[in-house]
Amino acid sequence: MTEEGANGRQTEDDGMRKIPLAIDPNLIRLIPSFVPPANDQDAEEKISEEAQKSMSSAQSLVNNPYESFGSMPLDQLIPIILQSRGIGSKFADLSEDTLMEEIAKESNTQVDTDGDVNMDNTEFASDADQQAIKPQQIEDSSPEDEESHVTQEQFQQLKLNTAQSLNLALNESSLALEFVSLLLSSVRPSAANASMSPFLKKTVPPASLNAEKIPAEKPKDTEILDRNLVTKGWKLRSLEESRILLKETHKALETSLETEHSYWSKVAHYISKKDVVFKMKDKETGEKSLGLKYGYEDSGSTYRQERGIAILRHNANKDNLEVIPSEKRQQSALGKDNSEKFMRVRIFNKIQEEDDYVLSGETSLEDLLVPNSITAGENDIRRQISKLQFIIFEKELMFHLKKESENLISYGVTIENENKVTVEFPTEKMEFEMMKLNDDLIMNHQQDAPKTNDRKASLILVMLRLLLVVMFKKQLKKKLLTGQKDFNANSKVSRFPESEALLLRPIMGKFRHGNYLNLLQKVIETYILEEVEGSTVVRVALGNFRSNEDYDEPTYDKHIVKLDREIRLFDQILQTPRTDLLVSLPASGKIEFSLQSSNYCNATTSVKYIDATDSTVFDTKFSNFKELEDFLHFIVSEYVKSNTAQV
Amino acid sequence: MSQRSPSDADVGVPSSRDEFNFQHVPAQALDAVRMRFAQLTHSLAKLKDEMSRADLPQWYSLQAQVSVILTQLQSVTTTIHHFEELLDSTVVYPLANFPTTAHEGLLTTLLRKKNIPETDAWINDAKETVGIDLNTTSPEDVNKLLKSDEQVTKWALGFLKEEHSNYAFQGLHTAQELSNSPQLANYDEYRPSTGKNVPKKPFDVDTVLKVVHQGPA
Repeated sequence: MTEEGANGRQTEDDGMRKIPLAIDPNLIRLIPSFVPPANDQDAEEKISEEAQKSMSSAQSLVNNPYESFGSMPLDQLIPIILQSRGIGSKFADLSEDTLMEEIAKESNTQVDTDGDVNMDNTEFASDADQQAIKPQQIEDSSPEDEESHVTQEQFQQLKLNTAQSLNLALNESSLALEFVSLLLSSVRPSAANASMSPFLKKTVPPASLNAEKIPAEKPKDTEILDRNLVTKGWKLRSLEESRILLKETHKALETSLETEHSYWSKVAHYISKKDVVFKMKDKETGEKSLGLKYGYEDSGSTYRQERGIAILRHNANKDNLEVIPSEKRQQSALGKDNSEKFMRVRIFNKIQEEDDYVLSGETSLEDLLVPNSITAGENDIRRQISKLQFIIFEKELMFHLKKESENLISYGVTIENENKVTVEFPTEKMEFEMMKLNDDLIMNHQQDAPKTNDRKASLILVMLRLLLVVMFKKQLKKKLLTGQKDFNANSKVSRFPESEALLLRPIMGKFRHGNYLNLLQKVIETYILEEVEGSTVVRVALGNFRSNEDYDEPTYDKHIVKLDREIRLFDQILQTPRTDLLVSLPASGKIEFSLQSSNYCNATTSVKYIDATDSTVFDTKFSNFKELEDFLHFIVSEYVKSNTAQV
Repeated sequence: MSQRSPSDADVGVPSSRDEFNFQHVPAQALDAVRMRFAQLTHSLAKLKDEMSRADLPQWYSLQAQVSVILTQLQSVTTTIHHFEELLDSTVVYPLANFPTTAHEGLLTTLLRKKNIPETDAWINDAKETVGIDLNTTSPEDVNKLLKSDEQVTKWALGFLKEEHSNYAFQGLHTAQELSNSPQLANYDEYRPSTGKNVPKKPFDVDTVLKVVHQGPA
C-alpha cells in the first residue's frame, strides 16, 4: 500500500505523458475530484460503510476485503480507489499502463519490504517482554479517544500505546508468517519463498522443518471450558467498553440537548415579537447564532456609526443568555473607546464681575443608577438589552447634537471635544457632556448636594431626548411617504431634503428668545414708555398656527396620521419662537412689535407704526437692536411727540 | 497459534531434502494460512509505517486501515479455525539441516508455542472479568452459565438490532460540523428510522433538532 501511494504520486508527476482513458463524464461529476475535502469525506464514509459490510459478512470462510470491492457500485468504489492512492490523486489520472507498472513494481518490492520489517521484528520479538503492555491500557485508550479535549501529553501517550500494540501485532504476525513459510518451503518452495524474510532465507536453509501427524487429541472438557470462559470474558470486556462509549455519547447528546433547550426556552421567554431577531454568524465563535437588533434603525434612526446589533449568546457556565454587541470587539480592536456613556447636562451661572462660572445645576444620575444596579445581577436579559438601547440612544443624541452645533458657533455654541458641547448665554453656560459610567462618578455624585438648577438641567435633557424621538418620527414619516411616492413618482429625494437635527436649537431658541424679549421690552420702556406718557405695552396672544405646510397634505395612511399626531404634540417647542407686543400710544395710534426668529437663534423685530387715523405709517424689520432704538427714537420724536404737542 | 513443536525434537539425520518424507506437512492448510498472514503482516507494516511518521495520516484513513486489518485478522482466525483439527494434530520438528547450533534462539522463537506475556495478560484479564473460578465451580454450572450467557447474547443482539432500526443515525450534523465543512449541508443524507416505533409527540425530535441546527431547509 505504501508503494502504491508513492507510485500514485509518481504517476501524478509524469501524468503529462500518460494517455488518459476515455472516462464516462458521469463518473467525474459524481466524484468531484477537484474538490479534495468533499472527496475525502465521501470516500471515508463509504469506506467505513464498506468495512461494516465486510465485518457483517465475515462469516464466510475466507474474507478478503478486496473481494467485495469488485462488487461495489462505481460511485462507492472510486472514492475508495482515490482514498487508497492518497489525497490529491485524480481518477482521471489513472490509466492501464500506470497500473500495470505499479503492480510490477509492487510485486518486486513486496518481498523486500516484508523482509526489512521482519528483520527488525524477529529480533524485536525476543525482547518484546520489555514492553510489557497491560491490556488495560490498550483498551482504555479507545474511550479516551472519543473525547474532544485530549491534551498533547495524553495524545502522545495514546499514540505511543497504539504504536506499541501495533509493534506487538506486527511481530507476532510476521513471526507466524515466517514459521508457516519455512514449514511450507519443503512442499511448496516457490510459494514459501515469496513470504519468507531475506534474513530467514539467508540463515536457515529451506525445508529444514518437518511435521508428523499424530492422532488428534480431543481437547479436555476443562480446556474447552477454559476457552469459553476466556471468550466470555473478552465479550464482557468489550461490552463494558461499548456501554461506556454509548453512555458517554448519550451524556454528551443529553447535555447538548439541555443546552439547546435552555437557550431556546430563554430566547422564547425573553424575546418578544417587538424585538428584531435574525440569523447571524457569531464571529467570535464561528457558530451560527441569533442576532438581535437593539439599535433604533427601524424606529427611524439615521445613526450609522454603530449598527446596534448584538448576538444572543448562551453562556453555558452561567446558564444564561448574554447579549453581546457585535461591534464591541471590532471597536476595541480599532482602539476606539466603547465604554458605556451617558449624557450629562450641567448648568453654570456666571459670577458677576468675575470671568468665572459656578455650577448651579446638574442632571441627576438616580434614574441611571437604579436600573444599572439591578443589571449587575444580569439575570434579566431585558435589562441588558435596555441598557444597550440606552447607551446607543445617548450616543446618537450626542452625535446629532454635535452635528447641529457645527452651524451654531456664532450663537455661542462650541464643541469642546468629541464628548462635550457647551452653550454660552450672557449669564449662564450649559454643558452637554458624555460621561463614562464608572464608579468614581457614582461615588462623587452621591456626595453632591441638590442645586437650584438641577430641575432645569433634567428638563433640558428630557426635552433633548424627546426631540430626538421626534426626529425619529419625522424620519419614519418620510420613509413612509417616500415609500408611497415610489409607486407613483420617482422624485423623492428632491421633495424631502435631508432632515436636519433639531435638538439644541428649539431649546436654545426659547432661552435666547426670552433674552431678546427682555431686551426688546427694555428698549420699549426706555424709548417709548418713559418718553410717552400714558403709553402701555400689551402682549398679544398668538393664535395657534401651523408652521409646517407638510401637514396640509391629505394623508390616508393611518400610520402617517398617527405619526403626524404625535409629531404635532411637539409643535409648541418646535415652532420658531415669536412674541407680539402692542404698544398703545394715547391719541397717537399704536406700534406693533413682533419678535421672531428664522432659525431659532437669531432675532428680527418687525415694527409697524399705525397712527391715529389707522393708516400704516411704517412697517419695517430690524435685526439689530441699536437700529431699532434709533428708529423708535425717531418715531417717538417725529410723530408721537409732535402729535401730542399738536394736541 | 498453529505451531506445534515437540520439546523433545531429537533428530540426527543427514541433511538432504529428498531423504525426508514431507507428506505430513499440511500444505494446503499452511498455504491458506500463509496467505492470510502475508496480507495481515503487510497491512500492519503499512499502518506502522504511517504511524511512525511525523505527521499522522487523517483519522478516517487510519480508521479505514484499522478496519481492513480487523477484517484480515478475522480472516486469519477463521482460516485457522477451519483447519483446526489438522493443524492441531500436526507436530513440527527441525531437521538436521537447520543450523541449530548457530541459531538456536531463532529455532526456539520459531517453534515457540507459549503465548507472549501480553497475550497471557489479556487472557488472565478476560478470566478475571468473567469472575468464575474453575476450581470452585463445577463444570456443569459453568456450562449452564455459558449457555445462559449465549441466550442473553442472542436476545441482546436481537434487541439491539431492533432498537437500532428505531432511530435515524444519518444525515444529522452539528452546527460545528456544518461550519467546518459546509458541503455537508448540500446533500441530505437524512433517512428516517425504519422501525415501526413512531414518536408519540407531534414533532419528531430529530426533525426539530435538525431545524434547530441547520435552520429551515
